[in-house]
Amino acid sequence: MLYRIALLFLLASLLGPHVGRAEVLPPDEADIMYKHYQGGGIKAEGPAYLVRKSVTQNASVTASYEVDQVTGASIDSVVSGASPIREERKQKSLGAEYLADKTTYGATIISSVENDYDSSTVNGTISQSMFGDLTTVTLSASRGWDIITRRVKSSSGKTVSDPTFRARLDRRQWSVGVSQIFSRNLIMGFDYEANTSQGYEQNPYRTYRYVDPLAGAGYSFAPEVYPTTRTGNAFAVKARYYLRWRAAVSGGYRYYTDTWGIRAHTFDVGYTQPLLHDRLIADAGFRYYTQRHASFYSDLFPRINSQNYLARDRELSSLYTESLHASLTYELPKARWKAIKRSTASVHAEELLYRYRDFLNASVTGVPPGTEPRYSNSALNLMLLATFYF
Amino acid sequence: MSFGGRVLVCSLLIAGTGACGHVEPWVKPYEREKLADPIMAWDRAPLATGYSLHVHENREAARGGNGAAGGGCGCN
Repeated sequence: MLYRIALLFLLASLLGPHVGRAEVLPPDEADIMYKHYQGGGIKAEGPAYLVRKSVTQNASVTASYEVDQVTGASIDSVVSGASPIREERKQKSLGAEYLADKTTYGATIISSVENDYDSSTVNGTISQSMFGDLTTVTLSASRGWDIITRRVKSSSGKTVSDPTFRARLDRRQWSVGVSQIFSRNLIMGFDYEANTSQGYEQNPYRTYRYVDPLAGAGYSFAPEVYPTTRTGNAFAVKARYYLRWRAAVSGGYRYYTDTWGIRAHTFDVGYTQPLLHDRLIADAGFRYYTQRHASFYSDLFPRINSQNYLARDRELSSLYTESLHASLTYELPKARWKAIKRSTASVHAEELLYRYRDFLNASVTGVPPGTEPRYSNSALNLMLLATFYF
Repeated sequence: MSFGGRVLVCSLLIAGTGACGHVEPWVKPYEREKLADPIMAWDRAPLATGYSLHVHENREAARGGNGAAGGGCGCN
């Protein structure tokens, strides 16, 4: 992997010596955010912090840290009778960017830790500005290593890590993106990403449902079985257009396909309007996502082990998501502390509606298996963010 | 396509575009005032955007394609 990233860096260094006006790195900033997600019986909340600081005129480092405290009981927990979730995820990242004329080199290390899932990722990025800075091409490569364990109840009633279960998942990702200025008012972006993973793809707690005439409810559950590889491709296009008055409209589309039979389309439109003599920037938008189910997904299998791979994860079902999102960003008055050049406070909210076409609400009883109503749930994702530029 | 193949294709694409020499930009630097406006940035709050992506990817099967497509309009 390292020699491949080195190859990318070598490639960019060959492209580097374009003469012309130099690019600049993003400004020094410190972000403090509180996030709160609630929906589908689950609540996730916690803080997030990010600091970016230049160390020379051409180099900067970025560090971030975030915590997610997850509690509640999803529909899976309700149906299977499992204990409500109570877990914490901590994510740390450290990155560096180096600018050499019109080429920006970036590298990031990310670590995410839960009590039953550890994930490590390294990422290398090269960004090259060309054609009089009308075009920016970005190449990116990532490699990830995940370790999955399982929490079980011990004989004393305490929840401990299952010593008999430990699995791995290796992830790889490559992407190429082009950002292109088309006119004084229009900029567009084109992205392609290939990602692949190999190893333990499933959730060790999740089960599939199958018809069982001997069971009281008419069905029983058994552990899911997933393929051990997955390869996906995503193609995306996006655009932003500056209107006659000071406002912008945006639009985007993404197509995703993978070897599990998932086909997904994502559409996003947005509008940005400065207000209050530019002290406030308002954003609003709508996102629509739809996907076809994985080839080995079923809400109710005809019998136990009826095929090689069996999944009842609603994330792999046929579903669509509609979401309205909005944000307000307020330019705060100049701070007395001279080190802070400017600061903003913003609130970001997204109301999501998940509708499942072939994942049924098995918590409904008294009806024949497979005739339960379709499951759906709504959720609110709320973020409060303060950014200080120094 | 193997990783090496992908790198080769990307390299040829970029090398090919770079070989075009000095292309006269059809939008001059002094005509990029609107593109340099913060409201035209792809992402003004990366920390919030990153968490929204995390929420989407946790509940939907599609992944990727949201990557940083370049470093903005190049009109700093």
